[in-house]
Amino acid sequence: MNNLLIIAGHDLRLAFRRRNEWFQPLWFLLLVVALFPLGIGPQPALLAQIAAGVIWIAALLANMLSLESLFREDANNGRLEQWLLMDGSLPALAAGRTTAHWLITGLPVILISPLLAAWMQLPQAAMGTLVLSLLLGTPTLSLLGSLGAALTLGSRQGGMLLALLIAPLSVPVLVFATSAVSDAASGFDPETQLLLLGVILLFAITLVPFAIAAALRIHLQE
Amino acid sequence: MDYLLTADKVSYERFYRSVFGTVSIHLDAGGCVLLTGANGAGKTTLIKLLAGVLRPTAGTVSSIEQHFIGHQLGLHQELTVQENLQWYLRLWTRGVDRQQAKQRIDEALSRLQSLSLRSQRAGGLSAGQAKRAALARLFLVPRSLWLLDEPFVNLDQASIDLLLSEIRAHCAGGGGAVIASHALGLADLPRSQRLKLPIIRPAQHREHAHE
Amino acid sequence: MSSHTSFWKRCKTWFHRWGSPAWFYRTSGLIIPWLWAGFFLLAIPGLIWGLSIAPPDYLQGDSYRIIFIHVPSAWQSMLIFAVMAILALIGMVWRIRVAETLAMCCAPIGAAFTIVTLATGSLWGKPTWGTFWQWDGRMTSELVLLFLYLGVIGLQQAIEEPRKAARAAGLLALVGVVNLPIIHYSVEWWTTLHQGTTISFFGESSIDASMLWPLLIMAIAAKFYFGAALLTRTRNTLLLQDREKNWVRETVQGEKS
Repeated sequence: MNNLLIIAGHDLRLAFRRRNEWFQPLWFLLLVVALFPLGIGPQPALLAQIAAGVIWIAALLANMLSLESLFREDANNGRLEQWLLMDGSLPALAAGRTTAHWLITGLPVILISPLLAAWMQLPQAAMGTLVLSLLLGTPTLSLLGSLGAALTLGSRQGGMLLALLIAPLSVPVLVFATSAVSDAASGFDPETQLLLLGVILLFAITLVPFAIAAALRIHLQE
Repeated sequence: MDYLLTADKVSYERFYRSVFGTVSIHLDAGGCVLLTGANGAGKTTLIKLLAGVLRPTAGTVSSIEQHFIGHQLGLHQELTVQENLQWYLRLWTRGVDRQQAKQRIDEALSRLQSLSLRSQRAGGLSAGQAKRAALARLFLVPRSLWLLDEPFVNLDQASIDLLLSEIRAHCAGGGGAVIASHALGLADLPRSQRLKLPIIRPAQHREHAHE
Repeated sequence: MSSHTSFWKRCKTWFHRWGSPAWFYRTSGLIIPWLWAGFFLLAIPGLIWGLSIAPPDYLQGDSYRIIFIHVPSAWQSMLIFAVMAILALIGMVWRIRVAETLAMCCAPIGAAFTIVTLATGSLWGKPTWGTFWQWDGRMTSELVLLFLYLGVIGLQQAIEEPRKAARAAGLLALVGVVNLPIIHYSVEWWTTLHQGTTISFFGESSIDASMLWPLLIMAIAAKFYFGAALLTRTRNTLLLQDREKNWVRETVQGEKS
């Protein structure tokens, strides 16, 4: 736990120095969502119908794009080797880094989601559910993406491959989150879906850091 | 005699080929192993195996807690030398406050007379300076076993002498070291053994292969 | 007690023997012809039975007959993913190269079965649903499964050092197999949400015995095919991996003379 906090704090401080890291995913998200009304027309009823899906898919893409270099720098400068040698702490370190990444790129997305909802004409009633679904869903996406970043560390293509590996694994989050928002928009109770998102998140938090650690360990072999 | 490191019939395969055949090493307190061999003989691979970064294809390695200064120095380019060392200190130890941390980092840096590097960005250092900054880790937290991959490369003569005397003092005080180096002779270090890795050619490799 | 321990010892040596590429090569060479024989002996009568002897469906006529390909390959595509994950786990825990290689050889075969399933599914969909593609629960799960297979293959191809590639791809297969039930469940949820009624392949009534028998025969034939294909592929891969080692030279010389 201590190591987790040290790494998270360190990464946050580093990210604070280079603004691009948190600003670009946000920018990308705004751009992608803005493209939809431009592409399919501004009719409010049409936009409202696809709002949940568009916002969520855009968030998924922004998350995957920002994750590619998560471990690359430390792999190149040799600190990853040193992580490995601090016995038993690799999962904690992986979790710490992912937490920092989520705070840097995931949280801002949630903070501007009301703006996105307004652009996409999402009914007011679904706003709370959208924020809640992002709050429960994006950490899972960050964990999965972090695993993808660790798996593709030693590969030639990097970013594209990461998206190809992780997108199929993200299907459950996408399905439950968007269905929660659509349910809320049409006046139903989205409790079940939000609960399932929570369960998936708990599941991911307990297991994925170990998978990330295993992937990093595999990468360090020559 | 206190044991520091044992490698028992260790081998490592890359692309289904053995990198250096099979190696056994035993290191007791006060001893030193000098790894030599031509480029590509597998010195870096062996020292990574001894450090535990790589897992051997066959054989076992066991050792006490060690310092490993590899070919990649483990410095983050955008952080200052002090911040870099602080990162290690915080992960390695518990309950060191800011004042103590600063003191220990200063002390570690001064061992190789690198105090002037303290507030420089690691990305802006010369190759030799970066090496000295990385080597300061050896003195940040005391550990008996040092695994050093080409520690003298890029260092100026004054720093080489300093490091050499530090290694001698370390071994005399009950520590031990495995050093991969071209520049060093056996005479430079007391009680040291040399391990020369041969180049493995495919023809020889056939004889080594067993399964 | 002693017989008990000796039993485990025998299991252990057996397990270790399979881990030796040379032994694997020799033994699988003996098994493969039998697997092919089993496949042809089952598939030929199974196909004849299914395609011409079994009665036409009272609703779908003759078009339903594609299930004798579609359903066995769908079962097989899922089974292979599980087999791949188990082999990857064995390879990871005991660091056995043969297991890693077997796992990696599963991926393209599984992907092929998945493609066959999707292709026959859409061919069947045309007369049944009136369209080549419907976002039906099972078909969507199968599509996601294909993407997972492609991910495993893609990751393996992207990493240069072959054992590292096999381990990374094996880890992905393990993560995938843990995820598959969740994906399947979420997709089922999603279809009931968006479609209201899904057309079930068999309706509520249980399948008639005259259709069930050829279906089962074809399903078993698919398993024989998988076994034969997997062992053949793995054998060739091992031969390539160890091309500089003694056992391969001896084997190749032995097979020449």
